[in-house]
Amino acid sequence: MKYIDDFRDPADREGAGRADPARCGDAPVRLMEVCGTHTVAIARGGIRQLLSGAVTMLSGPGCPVCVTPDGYIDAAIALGRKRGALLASFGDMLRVPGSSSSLEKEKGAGLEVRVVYSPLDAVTLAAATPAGRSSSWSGVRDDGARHRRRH
Amino acid sequence: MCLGVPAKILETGDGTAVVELGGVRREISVMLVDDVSVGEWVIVHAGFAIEKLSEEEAR
Repeated sequence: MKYIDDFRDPADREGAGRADPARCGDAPVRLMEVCGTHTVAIARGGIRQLLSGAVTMLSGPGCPVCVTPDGYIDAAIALGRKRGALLASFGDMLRVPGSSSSLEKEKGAGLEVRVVYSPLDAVTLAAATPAGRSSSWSGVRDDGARHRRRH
Repeated sequence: MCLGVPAKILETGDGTAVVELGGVRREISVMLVDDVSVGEWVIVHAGFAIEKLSEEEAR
């Protein structure tokens, strides 16, 4: 696949600007960017400015990482803190902020967060993790030394 | 997360396959595609083969 090279080819970008509105029919054409990365790539490539008025780009639903609500991250952190749950996450999810913290910050503070590449890896990890693990968490302290681990 | 990468099938199992991804061998699920066989190429996303593709497209 040479998608990256193709997308960055100036000749192709100019082609986007030559799109003939008359060939779009009566209705305006709306193309949806599925993911935030698409939005950024289209902006960086200067494609949006090249499009004729007949073609408009709409920011779409976003991938699971882009659109994960704060509450999901807060809930994961709460599960880790309060129940000592072992958390599995896609790597690019770690820095996404919840309402007050992120998985990356919590990992630094002692929460057990494992990066997985696939949801199937999370299932494998869960199967290999004893249900009654001896580790647990002492909770949150206000002095910054949070989540001190109890053995 | 949004990245799908082409990979070559090295072994097949029950709903799974071993592929080479950038020099690394790993097991993936092939539940989402029909009849993959050794030597074929697939696009792998988050541990799942999501589409078959020709070797020419893969390269």
